[in-house]
Amino acid sequence: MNNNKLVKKILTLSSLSMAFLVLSSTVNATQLKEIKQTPAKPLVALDAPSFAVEHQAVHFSQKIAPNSQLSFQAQGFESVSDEYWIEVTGKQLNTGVELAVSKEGALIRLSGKRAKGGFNDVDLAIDPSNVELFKNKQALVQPFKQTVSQQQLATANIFPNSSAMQLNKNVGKGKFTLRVSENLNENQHYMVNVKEKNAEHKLHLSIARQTYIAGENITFNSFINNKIGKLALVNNKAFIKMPAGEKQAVKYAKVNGKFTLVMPSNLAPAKRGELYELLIESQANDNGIQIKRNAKVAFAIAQPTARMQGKYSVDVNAASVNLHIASEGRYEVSGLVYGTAKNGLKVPFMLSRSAYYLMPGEQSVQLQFDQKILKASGLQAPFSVKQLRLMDQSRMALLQQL
Amino acid sequence: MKRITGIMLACMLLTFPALAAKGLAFIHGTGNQTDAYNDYWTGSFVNSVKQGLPDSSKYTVINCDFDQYMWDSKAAGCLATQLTDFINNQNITDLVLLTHSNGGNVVRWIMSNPTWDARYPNIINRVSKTIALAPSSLGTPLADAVKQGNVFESTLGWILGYGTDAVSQQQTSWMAYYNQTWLMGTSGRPALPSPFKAVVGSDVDSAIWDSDSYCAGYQYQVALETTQNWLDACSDGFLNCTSQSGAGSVWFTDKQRTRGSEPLSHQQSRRDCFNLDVIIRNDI
Repeated sequence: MNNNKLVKKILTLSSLSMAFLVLSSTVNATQLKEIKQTPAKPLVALDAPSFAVEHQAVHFSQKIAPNSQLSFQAQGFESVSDEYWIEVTGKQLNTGVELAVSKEGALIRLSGKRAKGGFNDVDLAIDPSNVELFKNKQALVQPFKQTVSQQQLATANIFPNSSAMQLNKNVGKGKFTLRVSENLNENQHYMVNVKEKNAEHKLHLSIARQTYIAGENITFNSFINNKIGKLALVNNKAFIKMPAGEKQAVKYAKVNGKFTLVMPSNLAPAKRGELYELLIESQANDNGIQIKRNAKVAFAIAQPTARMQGKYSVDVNAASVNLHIASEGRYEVSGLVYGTAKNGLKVPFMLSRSAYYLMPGEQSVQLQFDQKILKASGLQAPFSVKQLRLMDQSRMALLQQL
Repeated sequence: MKRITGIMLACMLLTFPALAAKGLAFIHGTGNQTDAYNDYWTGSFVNSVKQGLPDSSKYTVINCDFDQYMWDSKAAGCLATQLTDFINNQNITDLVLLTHSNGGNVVRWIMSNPTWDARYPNIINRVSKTIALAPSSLGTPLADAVKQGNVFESTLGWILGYGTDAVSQQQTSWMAYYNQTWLMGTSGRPALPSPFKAVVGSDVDSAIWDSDSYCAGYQYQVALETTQNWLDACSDGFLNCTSQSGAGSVWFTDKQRTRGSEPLSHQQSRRDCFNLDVIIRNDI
């Protein structure tokens, strides 16, 4: 073999080796990505779940249409209310309760409340034939277009200790006094709900997202409008309702047209999956008519029990994700898997999820990819993962989303 | 030749005893059921719908406590147990789920959270479709109304009389949170692994002179017409059409397919009213 031939052979071999290397790196390409940390809250060590939680590792992938318009980002919620409710006693109902009605034909619902632990629907309900309505201290004749008894409402299996009355449109709007003529237990509590369906005046209450990490403040917006625009509020009270039912008044500040409230640090914990509520009670006046409205929106507060950190790597089989676990429990890592099309474009084709029961400490877990879906996609390496999410399944909390 | 064919068929049956065994599960809505066959669906509905199966014995009627939150072991956990038993005992390879109301949410919980429970993937992989009758996918303002003022001073503990966890869950802003964080199939979220086809009830017919009002009981209709005060013009007396259409796809809105173009109230969409049972049977 002369030198030229030797050089040619070496070049050929090295070319083949290069080609092999390129090919193998295409098949087993490992992509490394840094997990960007927003200012991280200190993690908390909570007790292990006291209820049964799956301990087996479970992996599941499903095909995603490449043209799916998916958004995993936290979304807000807007509640629009045309009603209000107040709590009164039996004594107040027997004496007379003032109601503000801003729309003709409003519906009034009376619901008996029970002391926690006690229960007797029939005794709590008020017979609508014993309800009187006054305007300017004058008793109205036939003030109701329709009355619905406790027995009738109970058949819908939704308002078992309630009765309802719809106002005749000819009694108009303004201030009324509602009185119950039957003798009620003076200490019994009742809810009076004034529902003004399709009313011009509505309370809008919105929050930018429904998931918060403990310690974060909530920003919300609320206003009452009429056909023309927003009305000046004469009253606007905010409360947080705990999942177990307690209501706590909260202070808020208006910044740049939006309200920010500092979450109380002594919030009662929620049971798994239960939500807190922001309640707003607002009042406005429009041409001499008093407008009262209540609204509520639910939100979750997650305890920071774990986080993704460092770098995560992706190859053809899985993504390896580093976790810092502070609380024993079951955690799911999920992500949208992208492959590379022949034209070089990155295409989403699979949603993969892996869950493990983990102990506190530094952990590295695999987000496994379904190889059947991967092969059927016809897509090639490099593969990548977006919308990486960490969920605490034991406590039903969304902890992190990249 | 006949003998060879017979042997081949016998071999096939022995080799594939579970060859495409289609099964149907009736999954009730909110409530703690112990005899959903009689108390929730009625025998006439179940027996009519199951005729759509190749083998009408391969059906099950689920009885679980759907007064609980959908993820609870007594709700989704119970449903997973009963579906797994049905799949294993009947060798089901193709499972059709028929849900009503909140039953659709419990099914969506399982279909959306495959890693929650090691039994879920086996169920998900067998479900070919869910027929969701009036599903409460976006919740209902009625649940909000029930929970209005459902607060108490800790010293007194006053609370409204009706308000299970399932009612809390079906409040509209609660369902919005669950839909965007834990459930799939709503707008902008990943699709469910198999079709979720909704039947939408759009109105409540409660005219006393109209015999159609009496299907599934007239007394229900009067109450449902009343509750419609809290609902949109398009509702079944319990759920807005937007909620029923909020997850998966709309198979049909009642009047498009029912006999006489009758609407289906929330009570009627789980009964053999206006040919609903036959429409479902023919789709299974």
